[in-house]
Amino acid sequence: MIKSTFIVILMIFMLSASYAVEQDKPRSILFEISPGVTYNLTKQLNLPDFQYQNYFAGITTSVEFSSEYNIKIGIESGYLPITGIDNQQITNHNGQSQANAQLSTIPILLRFSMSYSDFSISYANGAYFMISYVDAFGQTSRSKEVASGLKLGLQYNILNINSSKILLHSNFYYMSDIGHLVVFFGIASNFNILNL
Amino acid sequence: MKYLFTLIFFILVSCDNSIILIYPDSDDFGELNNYKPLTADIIDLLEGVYKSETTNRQLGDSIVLLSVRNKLLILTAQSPDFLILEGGVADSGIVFLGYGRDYETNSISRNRVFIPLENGASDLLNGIKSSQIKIIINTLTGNNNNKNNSNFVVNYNYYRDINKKGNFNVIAHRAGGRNSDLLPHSENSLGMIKFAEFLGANGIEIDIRLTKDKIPVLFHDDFLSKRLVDGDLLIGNIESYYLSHLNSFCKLKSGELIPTLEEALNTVIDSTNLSLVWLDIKHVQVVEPIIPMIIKYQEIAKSKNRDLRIIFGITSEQVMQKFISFSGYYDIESLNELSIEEIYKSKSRIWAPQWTLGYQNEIVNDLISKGIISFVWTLDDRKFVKEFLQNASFNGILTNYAPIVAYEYYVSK
Repeated sequence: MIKSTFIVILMIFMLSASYAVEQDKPRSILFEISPGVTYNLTKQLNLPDFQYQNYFAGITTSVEFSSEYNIKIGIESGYLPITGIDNQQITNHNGQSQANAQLSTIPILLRFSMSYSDFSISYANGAYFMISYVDAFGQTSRSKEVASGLKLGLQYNILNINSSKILLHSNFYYMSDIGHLVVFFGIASNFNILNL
Repeated sequence: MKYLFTLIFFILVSCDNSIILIYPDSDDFGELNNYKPLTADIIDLLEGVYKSETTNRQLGDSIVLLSVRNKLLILTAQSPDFLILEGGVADSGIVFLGYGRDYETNSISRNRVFIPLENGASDLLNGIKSSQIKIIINTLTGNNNNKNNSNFVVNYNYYRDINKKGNFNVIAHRAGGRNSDLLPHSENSLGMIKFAEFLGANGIEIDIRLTKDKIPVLFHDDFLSKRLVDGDLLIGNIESYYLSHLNSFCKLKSGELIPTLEEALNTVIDSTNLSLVWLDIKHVQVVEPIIPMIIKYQEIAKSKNRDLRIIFGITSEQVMQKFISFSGYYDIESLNELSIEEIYKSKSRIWAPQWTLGYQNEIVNDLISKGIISFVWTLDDRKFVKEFLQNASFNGILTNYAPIVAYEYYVSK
């Protein structure tokens, strides 16, 4: 269901992109950084007896090439904690222990974005480097996995300062291989770092 | 254009194929509390092939009745593929109540089997195996919310004993079947091991991996996938996690913990009558810790008078090299999936080729003459199962659908 919705939105985006018009603006390289908050929207299939923390501070960043057309292409990354437990008591047949655990991701995505007035939308596709960490019963497990996935983003321009912008920023990250869905809200700063 | 997108959207949404099957539990068959309990030796007397009085499109013309741990298992050629029933003695005869499961339609039926006193039940209750037994099967089919239900009644008469020649092995893949087969237990779980006999299997195949603390556990995939486990915090290889972390933070799809090999072998020995366990070694590192475990549990089984073969499955050249590097490896019964030459190298007593390679009767018969038996894997289609049973010389079939293989074997002559 989530995958279908993403695919339909992608199709709308691609259709819109095909109407991208030539604009009177120079080619440039833009850098964007956005601190914010992540919230885990994954359908909970967790085990009982834990209070899962599903919101965290996160950060996203991107470098984009802005062409004379109304479409930008770039690379997006960041660090996004997804879910975890913080210093909780576990009691089971292994004994009793304080437990800490977290699942987070570093996305490396190819991003396409377009602007409409003060809004811009983006679609990205690529790899999510998943990182898991568990500390309980005096032992620490760490694991990683690469998952493929998608992202949809929406930005609203709230302030222009010279060639820089301040934007309200939200992204939906979907790690389709493993079924995780995360939303991110942040305030992005967008800088023009090179005119071509 | 909007209609096109709407159409595509609904096509994509309609591809969502998640199905949940709810199996009835013993509370659903409370009627049995009104009857006197039925002992296992009476159910043993019911074993046999039964024929329908008329051509039957539902359960098929012939059915197989088996006694499994105080329950009655009915295997059919049609739908449902198998029925599991508990019995009691009523004033007018013997009553069995239970459920049936059909693989193809993913449906569960409720069933009532009745044997009237005048049609053999009286003899059975006196401990006499009668050839005059007539059983009446009443099946209520439909989905879980009782829509589109239908009710049919079929009569069967005792026809002959089941085929028992050749010590044939019906081996249930992943201890019973895959998660996608929607059985009441997760694949490679303790529950599934206990359930395997109710699928008609007399052996199981289980997949072995190691945890970070080198404990052999039952797990098939390379990754802790959503297909196999629930638990959002854990990703990646099972080998990256300590057993205590796996136990605390993830569960198999039907809610069980990932079992250790020791728990699995204890369950096989103490809670089942299974005669064969095929250990599918998923990683070369598994070899070292499980060899002493196989020896230990073979001894435990022997001490409990259990006729159980615990078989080391050689799946790759690497696993074989590691296996034969142990002194005394030839005392451990092994199964080799590689070429004929490799069987002799590893002194394996079982060869296990893929079914797509065909009957290979010349090779199989040559091996039999040398004391090496052969199992074929993984055979699921009823048509091919029938053909292999009729034309090939294999001594066992590994399958995801043990009821189909068991039925076709027991009705064969």
